[in-house]
Amino acid sequence: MKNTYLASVLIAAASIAAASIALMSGTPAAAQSASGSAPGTPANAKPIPRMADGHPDMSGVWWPGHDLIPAQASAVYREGERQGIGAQSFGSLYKPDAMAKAKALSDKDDPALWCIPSIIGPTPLVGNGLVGEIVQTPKTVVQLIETYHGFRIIPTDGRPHRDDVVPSNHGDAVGRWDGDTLIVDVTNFSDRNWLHHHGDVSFHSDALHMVETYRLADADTLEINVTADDPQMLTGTWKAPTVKLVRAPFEHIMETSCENTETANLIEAASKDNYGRKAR
Amino acid sequence: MTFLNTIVTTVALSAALYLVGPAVSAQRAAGPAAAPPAGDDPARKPTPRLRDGHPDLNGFWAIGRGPDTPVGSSFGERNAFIKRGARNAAAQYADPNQPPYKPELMPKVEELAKNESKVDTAFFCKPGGVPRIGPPHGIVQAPGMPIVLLYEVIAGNTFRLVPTDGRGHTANLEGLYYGDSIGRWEGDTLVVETVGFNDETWIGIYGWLHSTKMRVIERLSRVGDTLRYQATVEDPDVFTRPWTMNAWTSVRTTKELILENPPCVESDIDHVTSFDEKTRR
Repeated sequence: MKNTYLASVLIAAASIAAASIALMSGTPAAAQSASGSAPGTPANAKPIPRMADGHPDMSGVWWPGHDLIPAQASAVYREGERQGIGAQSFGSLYKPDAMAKAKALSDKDDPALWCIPSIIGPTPLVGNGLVGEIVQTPKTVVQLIETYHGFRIIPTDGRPHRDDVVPSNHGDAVGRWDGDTLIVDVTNFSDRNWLHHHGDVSFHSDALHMVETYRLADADTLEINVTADDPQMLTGTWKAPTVKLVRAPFEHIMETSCENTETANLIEAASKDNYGRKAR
Repeated sequence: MTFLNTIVTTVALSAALYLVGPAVSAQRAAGPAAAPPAGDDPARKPTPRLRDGHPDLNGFWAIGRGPDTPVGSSFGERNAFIKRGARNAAAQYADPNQPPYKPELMPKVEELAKNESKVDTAFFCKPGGVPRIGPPHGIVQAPGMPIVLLYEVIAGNTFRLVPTDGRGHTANLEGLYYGDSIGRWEGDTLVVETVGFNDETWIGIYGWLHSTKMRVIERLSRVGDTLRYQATVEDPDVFTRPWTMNAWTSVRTTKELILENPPCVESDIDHVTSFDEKTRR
């Protein structure tokens, strides 16, 4: 059972919880769990769980392999601003106008401070936090995101994108199977949120189009890749760093909510402290 | 941005008002307008089952025959204002199925009701909690996984997890909006028992407070393409006995999926003056 401390931290911080950046940095825990996969798998390795229809069953609770450690998280953040994204960040591909706009924005402008979820955070399944859960049926993959307590419904029954809905923070997702890989195509985003949080300036337009792939590298490792196109903002296709999540040692994700009650204080804090980073 | 703020403000108010109490009169549900044409009654459709033998609750459920909306309306359109104002307040208080508050608490309940816009946390973008959130708009039921209840809420879509593997409540969980739920099957009825609440939320509008000792039992049963939902609230600190609220009936829909709403921002709450339930008599 994950401790309630994590939940309270996430609530109190209204999801500026800094530790998720560690997802990007190939932590030892995640790396260990990720080993022993793919070719040359030992004979006693657990088989990949499968649905009755033969597709991999990704149901379960997933996380990076470690809990949130606030003190270390801030240190990690100070040392590695945009660590793992760096020069390859979404914003590095901004066209000149967008780049100029980006330079005028900073932590205090992060929509996550208003309880608006980021699209990716470190990776879409965990959003602004650290933990996500998948519940899979033959026709649907549902992603439950702990922080902000949100969900995504990804139909896998061959239906096309919906043409009758307004743009949204998580966009409109449809999924399909390519062998053992789940490919999720996402369109119809609002232009309200950023791709990342923690003040990582990563705004986008409503022309954003993302493709996410999910693959069980082994029974206990979920490998996630994301590419994004935004012809209005970017000069090319952005590819997110590969993220590997492992099965979490607790049964369910918890209730956390973001209620905008701390927004003013958080913005003030972000303005003053810049999350421990040097001012740009 | 001004335009956006206006929208957001409007949404904030809608969000606050959206969470009307489900425990209002069932008279509408029983009225002739609620009866679909013979032969087209979704309740007469077959009830599909999963391989484990339990009814298949998967799908999206429009609240079509609950107390607050007429047949055919979407689950996003429970009219926030329908139970407000003098007429509806009178109808509510005329409902014989009233929450059985201890007599000494009645003055407090009335006081809260008269100041709803100032003290009802639903006005401040807070989660509505259980059972105020009402029946689920979507259900995901996969073998070996907890049953997932999905809700389209203007204050922010949310979900609940209901493990049905026989486990007990998670220890030391408290102060939650949606509580800690465990489920079991009683015949074809999914029974969800939830504890671990905070005492910030109300059971419904009209100042229906509860304590952290609240225990909610929800019963969900699929009949054809309908879903019957009824909640019972036990709270020895505020009630003289368990209170079974009026039931809802939802209708399965393949047309609607859950939509995501803009964020709830309580930027205009100071200007709200007219929504208090102050026209009771």
